[in-house]
Amino acid sequence: MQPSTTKTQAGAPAQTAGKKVLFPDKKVSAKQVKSSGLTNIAGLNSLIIFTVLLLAWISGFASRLFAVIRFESIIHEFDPWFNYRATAYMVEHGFYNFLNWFDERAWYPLGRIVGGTVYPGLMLTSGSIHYILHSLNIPVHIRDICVFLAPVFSGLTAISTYFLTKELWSSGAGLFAACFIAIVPGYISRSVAGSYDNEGIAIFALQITYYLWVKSVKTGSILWATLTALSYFYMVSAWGGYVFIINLIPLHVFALLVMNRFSVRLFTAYTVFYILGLLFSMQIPFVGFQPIRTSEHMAAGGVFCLMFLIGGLKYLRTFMTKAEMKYFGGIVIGITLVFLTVLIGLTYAGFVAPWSGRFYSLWDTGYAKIHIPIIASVSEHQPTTWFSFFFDLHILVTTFPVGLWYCIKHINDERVFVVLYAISAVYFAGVMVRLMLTLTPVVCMLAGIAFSGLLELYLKEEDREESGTNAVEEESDGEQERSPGRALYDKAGKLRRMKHEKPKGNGDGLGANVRNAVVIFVLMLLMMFTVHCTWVTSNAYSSPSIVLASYSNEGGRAILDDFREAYYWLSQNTHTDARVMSWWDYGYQIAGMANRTTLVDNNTWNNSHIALVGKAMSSNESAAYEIMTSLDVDYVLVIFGGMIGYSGDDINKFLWMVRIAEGEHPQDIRESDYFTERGEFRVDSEASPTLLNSLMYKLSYYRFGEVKMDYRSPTGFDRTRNAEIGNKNFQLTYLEEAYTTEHWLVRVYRLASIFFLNLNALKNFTSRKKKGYIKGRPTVVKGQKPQKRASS
Amino acid sequence: MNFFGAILLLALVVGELIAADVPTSTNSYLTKDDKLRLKKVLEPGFKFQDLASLHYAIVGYKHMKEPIKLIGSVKTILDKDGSTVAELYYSVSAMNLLNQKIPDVTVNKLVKTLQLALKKDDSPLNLAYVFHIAANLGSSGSFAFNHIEDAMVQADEVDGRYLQFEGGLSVTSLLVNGVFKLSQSLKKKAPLTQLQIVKLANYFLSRRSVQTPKGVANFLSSINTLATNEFYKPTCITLKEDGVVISVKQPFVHIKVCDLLGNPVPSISNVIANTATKEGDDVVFVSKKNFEAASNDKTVYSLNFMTSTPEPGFYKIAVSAGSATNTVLIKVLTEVKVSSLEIGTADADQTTQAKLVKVAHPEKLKEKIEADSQQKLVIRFLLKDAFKDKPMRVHQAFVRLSTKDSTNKNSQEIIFVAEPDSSHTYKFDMQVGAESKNFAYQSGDYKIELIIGDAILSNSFEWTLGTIALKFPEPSASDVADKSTYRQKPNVYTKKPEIKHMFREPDKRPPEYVSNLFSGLCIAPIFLLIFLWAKIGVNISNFPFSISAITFHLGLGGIFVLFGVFWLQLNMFTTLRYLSILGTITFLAGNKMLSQIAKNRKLSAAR
Amino acid sequence: MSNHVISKIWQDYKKITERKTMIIDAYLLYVLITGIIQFIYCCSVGTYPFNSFLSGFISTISCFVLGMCLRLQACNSNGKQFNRYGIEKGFADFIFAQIVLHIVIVNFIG
Repeated sequence: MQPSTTKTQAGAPAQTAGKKVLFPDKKVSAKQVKSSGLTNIAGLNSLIIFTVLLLAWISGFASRLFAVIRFESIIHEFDPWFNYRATAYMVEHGFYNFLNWFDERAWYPLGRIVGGTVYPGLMLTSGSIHYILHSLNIPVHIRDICVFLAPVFSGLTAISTYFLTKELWSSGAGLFAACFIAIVPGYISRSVAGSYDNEGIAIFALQITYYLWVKSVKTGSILWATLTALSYFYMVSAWGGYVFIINLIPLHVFALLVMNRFSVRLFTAYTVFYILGLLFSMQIPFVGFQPIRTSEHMAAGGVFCLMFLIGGLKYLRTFMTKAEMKYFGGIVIGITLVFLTVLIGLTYAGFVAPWSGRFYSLWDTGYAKIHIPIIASVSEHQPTTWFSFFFDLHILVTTFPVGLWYCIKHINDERVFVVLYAISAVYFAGVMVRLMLTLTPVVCMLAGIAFSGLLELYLKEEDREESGTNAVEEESDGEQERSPGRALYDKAGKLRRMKHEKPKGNGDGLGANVRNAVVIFVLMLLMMFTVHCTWVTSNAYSSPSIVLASYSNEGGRAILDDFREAYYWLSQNTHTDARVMSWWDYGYQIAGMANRTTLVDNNTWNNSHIALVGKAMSSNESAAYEIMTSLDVDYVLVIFGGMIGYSGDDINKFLWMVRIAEGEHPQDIRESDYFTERGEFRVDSEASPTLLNSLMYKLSYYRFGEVKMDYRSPTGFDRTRNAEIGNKNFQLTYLEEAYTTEHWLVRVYRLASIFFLNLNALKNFTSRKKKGYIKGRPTVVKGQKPQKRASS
Repeated sequence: MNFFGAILLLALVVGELIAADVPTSTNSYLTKDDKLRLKKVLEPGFKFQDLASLHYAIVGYKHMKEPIKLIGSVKTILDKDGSTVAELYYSVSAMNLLNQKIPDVTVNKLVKTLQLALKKDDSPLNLAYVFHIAANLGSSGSFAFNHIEDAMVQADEVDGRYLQFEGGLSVTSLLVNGVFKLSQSLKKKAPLTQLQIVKLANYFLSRRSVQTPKGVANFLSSINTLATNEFYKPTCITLKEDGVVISVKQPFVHIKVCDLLGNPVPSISNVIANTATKEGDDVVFVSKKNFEAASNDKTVYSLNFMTSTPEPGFYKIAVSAGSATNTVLIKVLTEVKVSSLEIGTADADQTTQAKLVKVAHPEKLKEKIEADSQQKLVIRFLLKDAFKDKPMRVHQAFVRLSTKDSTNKNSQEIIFVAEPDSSHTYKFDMQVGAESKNFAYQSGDYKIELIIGDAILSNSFEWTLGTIALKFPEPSASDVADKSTYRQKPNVYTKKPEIKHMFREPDKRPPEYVSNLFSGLCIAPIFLLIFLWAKIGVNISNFPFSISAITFHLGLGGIFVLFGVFWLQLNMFTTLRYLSILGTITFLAGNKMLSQIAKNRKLSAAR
Repeated sequence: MSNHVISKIWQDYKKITERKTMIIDAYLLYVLITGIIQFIYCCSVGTYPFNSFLSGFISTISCFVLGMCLRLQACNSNGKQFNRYGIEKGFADFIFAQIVLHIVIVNFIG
């Protein structure tokens, strides 16, 4: 046996920094030594890596299919519906038409220039997959590609995470990280089948960019830097989160400069990346000239200039004396100051846009609530709770600081990067739930490093012992690994075996019992993690949200398909040009499924338009009617969950509508009017009269007062808010009910035309028991019938 | 059926003229115009197109005592035993019209049939037919006389003034005619009270606007019947046409007393105004005054109402002529005069005394008044009764401000109400600043007009007082928004202007020569480059003339040519496709070439 | 003082630098001058077709950066930091980056 050789061989192909190797690889290589000799070690090693990654991909893919299996192959949520619609348009009309697409069905009457306001990476990706498959004569519908795109890319994410972690630490840690990222709920939440959204491919782009960046910092090669820029370009085309990259990488460079770690490699990597990345990012129409106009991108430019200054100084230093350097140092400081002044001046003059509101809200969590209610209204933009940290990351959240500590302890150029990545991502994830997504990969990586380091410590002695284990064990190991199932389970299986073997060897530094205990504990943790991930995925993240499932007492499952029912009704029963008003959440779905014109949708770029809709929803019927006629509304759609107890309905979102409306029309709408005197928001008879007469309230509860859910509760009992509604028997003057779905989830109202309006007004007139009277109405005394005479 | 509506209308018109107690005379009579019109309706019936209308036309003309010009003969009407009462009626009536006798056997049979029919159905219509037939049967029709009371019980009474039968004019007329005909042929007084006759007459007169020939005939025949019956002839008491208005200039109340057909009633000797009460307070104003008969018209009586100097207003006069009584409504007018009027401006916060100018009634203020947003426009005026010289109030007192140029699209017209105080002085204050929204912030010259009107005034007038120059503040932003919505409101349903997409105007490009100059300048350094390279001494001799090297350089050149073509015409995707081919070749060649060079160098280094 | 320093630098430069490096330096100088001319154009005339100006200007910056990187790799004094790569590898990378750069420039120039 040549254990030392084995070790170095196993580590060699991939490693530059780390000398540690995760035990499976080592174990296998050790076995290989025994059976096949040294030449095959590297090959088998990569076979193992390949197998683990493949299994990680498959398991990640499989666990994202809950939604498809439970429901059907359908696009989920809200934004994906727009992405799907845009993709379908692109596939049908070609890319250039797509870029010039003016969508008059959205944001009526404004319309939306889709090509210029969208990140086209997602559509391009699925479009090109569609193109390739069709040129290979595989007729797959574009919808299926869209549905399964995110799971497929999660596999790619796992692979890129592996490579990144390998660059940072070791390939063993990389495998851990790949397995973690494949099943971690924080990432699954955005990449289940059917969740066809930018984030699905953006995380892959993020990871691969970071990998290439680390690689190019290491090698200092123009090629890698160019590739980094190319993958950054892909990221820019896919997600607005690219700003994270373009700030994190300069931060990394800056930190290295501060740590006096300047090198020619760093210079090459950064300058090439920056200048190409800058140019590439401006190719995306939506980004346009922002990279040289907005403050968010200025840090990168500043670091670029700094790089040149330092590079020049270092070069000059090669043939100059100290005194001369001092002279030049003065010049440099002067130039820096001039640059700064010019930048500030440009910002002041308006050539460079100051930080946008969304970015302020990252620094000051209270900012959005005060200034931009529309941003605060999105649930994804809320600050993260501890619960959701744990829910999404489970044990990783507790183990990743260990990995961070390892990295800080053994610091080098690229580990500085991961440390910065971790710290900034943790901060941002704490500010916004949505940014949990950027935290997840780094947590996986660092947790992978932590587990790798831990197990290495505790299994170190095992290697020697193990090399003498019998072949039968190996065979079963191999089988285990190849058998379908979780990559983690495979590992666990392997680990368990090794643990059995442990007693044979006596620990050098650590007692065998301690070692056993720790290993078992770690394995238990990993098991629990796996179980948790599966549970969370199946329960929390696999509902398409346009099809709801409810469970009866017997455990039977009922599908509530109200959304699609309503949208289908709209598409079949309304005029093709009909304009549907709804809260913006449902804009994309109406456009995608019902193919009708909407006023506002999930692309919340025009705050005042949304505020107008919010004002219509929160004012009384006649005021709303004026707004609605001025906006040419034909139908109004509201989501009402009081019948089945669905909490994400419009009444629960109502306060946001009021707030957004108040932001634009403070003289008409006041939030305080919608609370009771004690400052509560309630819908029962104690609710404020403004609320009871608002359009949203009326549309939600129209005719609900007649409904009796069961014999114990009163009529009109709202199950979502557990209250009996306060305004029961009212009539609608300007609107009439057009359609209500089976479970009352979606209610569609038609805006009365003038004719019907008059009719309705008359109806209401009589129904109020105020009869008209005619002046001088004749009083008639009826004549009597004579008694029949018997005789003639 | 229109008749209910017609009654309503009539009730509306007449309702106010009628007191709560039931009058014993009718309100109107058949004028000549009515007769002319009715004839026109009947005329087409003589064209023999339809038996029923011919029948009605004949009947109608007979009643109007107009000569019947029959073309052709009426032989088609045959003696025939119809099975229904209506058919029986038509047969009998036709035979009667042709002066044919009905044989006794048929009469007996008829009587039995009719009695049977009545037992089955004693609706007013059936009864009416029976009465008619019975009237034609002479004494054998006496069986029907007892049924008259049955019939009258079935009459509907409307407003206590009209009696009618279910089925409207035709049924009522048929029945009334039948009743009177029967009673005439039997020489017995029909069991109808005078009041019933008056009510029936009222009803018929209310239907004088009928349009169908049948209706006209029915109407005429029944009016005739009622006007000429031997038992009680209803009298009409009403105001003479256009006699409603009484004033100092025309002090007489003219009353027309006549029968239903407009003929004088000889039995009436004197017409008395029993009471006259003012509308509103029911104070008896005049009692027991005789009307004087007019010399030229026997039906007209008059009374000088102004002798008792009534207050202007509406009066009800209860008139009795013989046994008939009725109430008429007249209105007494007066004239108004403006006793004083002052106009001027004052500070809105009333810190200073108002500056007022007096204007006499028909005149106009000579100088223009000016008012800005800190001031208010003030008008004070007192109205007086021209005859009594007492201050009075009028129903309508308005101040109208309008832009002088009414053809202008933005012309404004705003009308304010002037309110009187306890001393009957009218006051009008307009805060210019507060009203600026109503004027849509349009400063400029406005015409001031005073409008006085009342139903009891004979001289309502509109008086242009003068001109005012109003100066409004600039509208605030919210006001503008309000204004725009206010302006928008009427246009909500009209077509909106088409939205046209505005493309951004391209910025101005620099002149061509500047661009060309700089293009040249940009190219220039390449000579510098060549010069420098030449000076340093580029080593071209080292160029390896292998296939890979040539391919590489050609490929590289091809790629840059491709880029040029891409710039000029290709799109991204085709470019990428070509690039992938070219790139692969170039890559392979370049790889080989560079490794060759590296090997050479290593070799040379080793050497 | 400054004259003295600059002339000293110039002499040092001539002394130290290899010929190969000087070829690249000449190229860099050429790119630099082109960039400066474009900058003068933008300052004096205006930037109107902004994308065209940017693509031109950035392409000069990029060429300068790439040339600089090539120079760094070619320079013997930096050989330690790029021990695994020869000048040929550096040149291949340079060509690759130039191709990628120019396709984007052409796309951007409009």
